[in-house]
Amino acid sequence: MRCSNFCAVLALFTAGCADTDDSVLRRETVEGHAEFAHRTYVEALDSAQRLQLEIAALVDAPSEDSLQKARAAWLAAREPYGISEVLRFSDGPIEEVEGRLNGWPMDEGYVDYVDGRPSSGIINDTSIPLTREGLVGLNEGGQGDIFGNGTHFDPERAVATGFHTIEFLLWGQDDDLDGPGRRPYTDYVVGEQGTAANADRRGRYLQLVADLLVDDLAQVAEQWEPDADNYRRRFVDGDPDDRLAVIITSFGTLAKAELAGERIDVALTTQDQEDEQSCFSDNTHRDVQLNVDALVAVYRGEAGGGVGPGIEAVVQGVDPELNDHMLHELERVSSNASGMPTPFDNAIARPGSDDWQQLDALVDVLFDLGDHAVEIGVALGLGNLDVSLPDEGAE
Amino acid sequence: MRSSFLGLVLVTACGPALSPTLSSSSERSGGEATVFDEGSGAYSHPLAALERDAERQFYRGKAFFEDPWVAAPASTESRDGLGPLFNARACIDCHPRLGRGRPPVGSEATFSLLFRASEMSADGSARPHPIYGDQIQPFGIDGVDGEGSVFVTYHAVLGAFDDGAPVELRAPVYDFSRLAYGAPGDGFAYSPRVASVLVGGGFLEAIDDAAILALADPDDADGDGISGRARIVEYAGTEALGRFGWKGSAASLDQLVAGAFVEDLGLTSSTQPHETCTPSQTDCAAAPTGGAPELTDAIVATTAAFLRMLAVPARRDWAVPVVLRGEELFEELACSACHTPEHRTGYVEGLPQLSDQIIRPYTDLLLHDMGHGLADGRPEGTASGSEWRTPPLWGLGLSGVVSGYDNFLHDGRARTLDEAILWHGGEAQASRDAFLALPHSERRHLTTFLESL
Repeated sequence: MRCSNFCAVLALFTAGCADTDDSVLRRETVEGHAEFAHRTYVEALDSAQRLQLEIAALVDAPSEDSLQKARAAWLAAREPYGISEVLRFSDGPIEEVEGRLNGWPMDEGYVDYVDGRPSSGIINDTSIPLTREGLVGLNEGGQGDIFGNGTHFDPERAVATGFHTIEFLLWGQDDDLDGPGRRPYTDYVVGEQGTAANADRRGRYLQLVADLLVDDLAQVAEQWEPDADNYRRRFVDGDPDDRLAVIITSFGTLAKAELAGERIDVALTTQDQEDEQSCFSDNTHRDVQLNVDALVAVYRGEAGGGVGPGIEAVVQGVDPELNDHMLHELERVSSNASGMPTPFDNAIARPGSDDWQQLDALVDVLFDLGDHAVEIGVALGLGNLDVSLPDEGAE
Repeated sequence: MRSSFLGLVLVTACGPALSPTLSSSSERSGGEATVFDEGSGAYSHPLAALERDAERQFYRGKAFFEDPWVAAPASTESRDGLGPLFNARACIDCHPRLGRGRPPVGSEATFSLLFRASEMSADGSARPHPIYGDQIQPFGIDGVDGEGSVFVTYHAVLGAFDDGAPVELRAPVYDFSRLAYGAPGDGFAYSPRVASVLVGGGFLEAIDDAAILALADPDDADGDGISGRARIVEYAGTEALGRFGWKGSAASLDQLVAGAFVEDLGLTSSTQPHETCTPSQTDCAAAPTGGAPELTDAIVATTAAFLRMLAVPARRDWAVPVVLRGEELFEELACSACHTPEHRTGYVEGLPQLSDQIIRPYTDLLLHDMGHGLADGRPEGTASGSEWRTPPLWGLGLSGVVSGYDNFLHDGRARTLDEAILWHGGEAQASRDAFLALPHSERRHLTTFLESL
């Protein structure tokens, strides 16, 4: 092929952009992201297995000590899971099980007794056999309005499995703005010393949902294993630009639509305790912080202990100024989130207070982050990425 | 403040952008903040380039629009108060993807087609129905019987275009025999309403009163057979121009939203403080409520703001010859006499996207007598039993893509645009007759134009 003027100009242009380096960098970023996903889900699985053990210990020998250990294990298991949420909006393996793993908000009365209704919930309805398949089927109102709650029934809130079900079974309802729920360990004591009916079923239920949590996380982790015929292989073998688009879309969606919009901003308007994610344990501040940490880590290439270049490196090569903007926003997000008010429900309940305003400011920065993610998509030639949540209400 | 009547006439007389000729505004139905999406999400976008606070409000309002409400008492204090009687649990249930509802199919319960109700007096005036109130709400919370479903069948109405091509319309017949609180009785009057497309509400709200009133011709002084009356409603303690709803019952999006919350979901608010129970519905009156009122002003205002900031999708193929010919026919047949193509909006505080924009909603927001075929026989405020507010046509061609089905007119009886046009009567009789007389190719040009909106 003869090199025309056009060709020469093109060569000059691509040399100026260090095109080869760029495409290598993009591929490495995608591969690093896959490794980050693997490490994070493995960590989430490990910590869920420790939770499973502590729960078994609690059910076998209920005591204040075994309850506290189970609670501590739950809090520990939330840490890697909170990081993994930056992978959530990407049509990946997590999509299949997310509703079982992390459903909220939750109508507690669907699972167990609540204030004023001592016999409500699946646990107290002895006609419902407790099996894992059964609970999976009941999650998100899968069997319909089984308690005839009529208009009190909301399938989306009829959560029967996952982290927040376990959280409720360990802490109980949070009726207090100053602290978490106060379920006594004696709820698991069978016999006369017990404080609630159906202690045996409660223990069995708790163990079943812990088993399920472990199995679901194992399934996701397996899909991210290296050197296997799985989702990861298809992910890293695909067009790196398609994968970068997925990574950045998930990044932006978590920041803007999910964390800022759906979780924090709506709660700031309703000032309703039920609008905080980990309401029973008052751990919502960690949920937020971990999501923020994950955003920073994925962008900066620190995720999974620094296994890949990160989005930053790619952006720096294409549009250093945009990268500077992004780094600045990430710093603002980090510093804002680091002093997160606790408990979250207390902060949202007092509009105009310093804590409330801090959350309000955090929403703004997270929106900026989402908007920058869209700009990055354009700058990297990935098209117009959509960082809003998928539309509800389709028939 | 709204601009003066005189000011508006001057703009109309000399503003070249307002003439219905080819211009970039032909494509951008919703002004500079028009969005470009031909897919199922076409009705769901915020106005382009919103300021941060406005954008946050849009998404918060979207959550209130989409989230289901539950009966009180519930652990979710901010989301309870549904009913005692209601049509739906969430706004989006009847406006899926912000699009149209539809009449029920077969023996399906009525859902996104609702029925307003009245009892007629001997003097022809209407009052709320003594048993069913202003609206039939099919569902009730625990302990309260819903008012039951209305069933729809159709009978065929046969006709032909002037060129001999046959036409089959379908006219709805409603069966109220299975209502739960007994037969509605002799003076019963009802008005079926399909949930409307909601895009562009902020622009319609932003048209100056004077601009709409300038289009009114209540006594048909110009003798063109088309009158056009302003719907006057009471709003915030004063008389206001009604512009939303099938008969223009709401002057603003806040009024529309508060009305829909109380009638459709059973949620009271500061401007709609009373549940919809009638005196004979004692279970309803005794049912627990989610507070007095159930909604904070912030939730009503945020939901209304969400609708205000819904962008209008751009037209497709707006400059192809067939569509341009269809646009000419739309003028020639005087469709545009009521479906006024273009308006200029006034000033909206804090939302430059809505302010001073050339928009193309294809409505005059006035009431017109649409003839016997479409009449519901139920007067509503200053609107008669045969009058309807001209519905906007923007986004019309994307309705099927968004909703997965097509139906048109207030009760969804028209399955195609041809049918919708042919149901027009009354003030639109001449336009409809002219459409009947068009050759096949020209009829297609006209509907192709409508599909480009």
